[in-house]
Amino acid sequence: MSTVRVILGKEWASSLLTPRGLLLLAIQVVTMSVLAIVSLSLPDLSLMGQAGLLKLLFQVAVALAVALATLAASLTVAGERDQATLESLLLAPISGTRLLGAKWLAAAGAGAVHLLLSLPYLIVMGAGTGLALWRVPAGLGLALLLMAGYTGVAVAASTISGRTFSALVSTLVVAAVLEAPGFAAGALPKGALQKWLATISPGDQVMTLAGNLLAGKGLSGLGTSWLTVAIFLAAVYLAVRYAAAHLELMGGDAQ
Amino acid sequence: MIDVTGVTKRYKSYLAVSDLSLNVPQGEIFGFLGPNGAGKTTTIRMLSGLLLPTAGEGVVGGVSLHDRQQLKRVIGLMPESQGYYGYMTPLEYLGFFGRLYEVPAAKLRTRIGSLLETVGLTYAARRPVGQFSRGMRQRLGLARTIIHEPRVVFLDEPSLGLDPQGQREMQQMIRQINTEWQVTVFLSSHLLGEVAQLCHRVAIMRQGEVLASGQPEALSRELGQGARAHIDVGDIAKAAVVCGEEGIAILERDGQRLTVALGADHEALPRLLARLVAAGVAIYGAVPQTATLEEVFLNVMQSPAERAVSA
Ligand SMILES: Nc1ncnc2c1ncn2[C@@H]1O[C@H](COP(=O)(O)OP(=O)(O)O)[C@@H](O)[C@H]1O
Ligand SMILES: [Mg+2]
Repeated sequence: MSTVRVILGKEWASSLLTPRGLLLLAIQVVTMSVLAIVSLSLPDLSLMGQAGLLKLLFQVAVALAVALATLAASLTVAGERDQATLESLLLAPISGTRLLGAKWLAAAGAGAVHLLLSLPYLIVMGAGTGLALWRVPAGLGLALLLMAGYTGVAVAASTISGRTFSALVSTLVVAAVLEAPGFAAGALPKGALQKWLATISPGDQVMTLAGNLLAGKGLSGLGTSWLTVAIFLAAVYLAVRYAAAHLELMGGDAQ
Repeated sequence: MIDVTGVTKRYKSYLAVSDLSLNVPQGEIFGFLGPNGAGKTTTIRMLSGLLLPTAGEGVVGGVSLHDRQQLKRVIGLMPESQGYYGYMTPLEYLGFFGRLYEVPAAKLRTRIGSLLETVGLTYAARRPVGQFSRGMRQRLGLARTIIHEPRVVFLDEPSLGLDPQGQREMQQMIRQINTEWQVTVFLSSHLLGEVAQLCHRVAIMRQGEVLASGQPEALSRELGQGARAHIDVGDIAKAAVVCGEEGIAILERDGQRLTVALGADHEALPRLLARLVAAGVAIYGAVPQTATLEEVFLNVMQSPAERAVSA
């Protein structure tokens, strides 16, 4: 476990605590601030009602946090490759599984900081709706599942694809393919296909679960949503294991 | 320390290293010479657990080539072109790798101190590596390579990109870690001078095959197009006749100086000198010329691949 901690420490020092990491955190905070101010000051927007605003703000906070953390995560292994630091890491007596596991944990942890920074805004919004206080952090807890999933996708893509650019592109492609059905379902007329599409996008399903929480409802009767999220996480876990088994120097790394 | 046979690496259809056998005893500095693309880096990666050989057996530092996780604990490798985390200081960099190799904390502190001393970076211990010159980075890389006290150290072109001063410093450090820490050193290079000065034994590789190996002097003797000698004589015409009678080829006549080819025969020079004296030729000087490693290298590179030699 101690080698995992060593990697974790190095990852956080090189992600969260660098200018780039701080910039990403700042993007989160500034976006949340702007949205909060706008939504509280515009009378037309408040037509949505306090509850609708909370849901919107929650979705933006989670989508932004997951996107930023995932982008950062897609650079981890590919970045080491590009900087020619991967070889010295692979030389150390740490298994590929542990190395990637630590990088995954670090990426998801950085994403959790993004979510945590959004918490105060959401609590303030939630206070106006008369919602029980625990529901907002619980919603963010659900968002953490999505965070773990997509940062895992990014770490696996970063390992399997050779360089930072292809890592970024392949992560975006996977995310687009996974989330497209959710968007398509919203646009299509009701029907069997539409119904099926509406259940298979992990981001969509996490938002559904969290939306219920924030609307003051329970989580029962949402078996398909849970199933989708569980399958997503299991698939990502297998993808990271696969990537770890294939974590090698690639041709041209010497040059 | 290194004892491998039949080590082979195939990338798809391309044979990068073919049937390589090596034996490097403990404490030796072994030089691995070859032009770009010869397979030096591939060989080093196989011997250090980074790459699994397609075929071949053997042990490095007492650990089988196929036990890659364990192998990584007993070897150190300085890659050919190594990147650094620019935001880290040498203290942080060496600390990170020391902990990754699970060097106990108290030991790690003193080890980092003495390593920085050895590679001459104590003064820059708290400066970010991003500001370092290539030479400084390379020295830090050398310190990282031996942070966990490996039994065998692989240095892949350690002087690449360094100026002559930097190369000399690197060579001194390599000699120092070899003698002070009794580390076996496996050094790949295309700098013949460096290898000739530093290494106890060398192997010359081309297109994945070792063409010649042995002590640098022995290789020079055996492969330097045969030995030669300059002989300064009183009567050059008479001397030439004597050479002809002895069957010794004259390569060059220049004033009073003859340059003769002696072949591989160690007794050729004293025999010729005795005959010259007997014939009444005055001899003012006789200087045997041994080939440089460079000549050997060029010679081997031009020879057909089948002519594998061992001296
Ligand atoms: N991952 C790889 N895939 C395919 N060919 C490779 C790979 N790595 C090296 N090679 C080829 O193997 C040969 C030996 O390369 P290398 O070991 O790097 O030589 P050297 O270090 O002596 O310059 C080269 O022709 C190189 O192009
Ligand atoms: Mg090389």
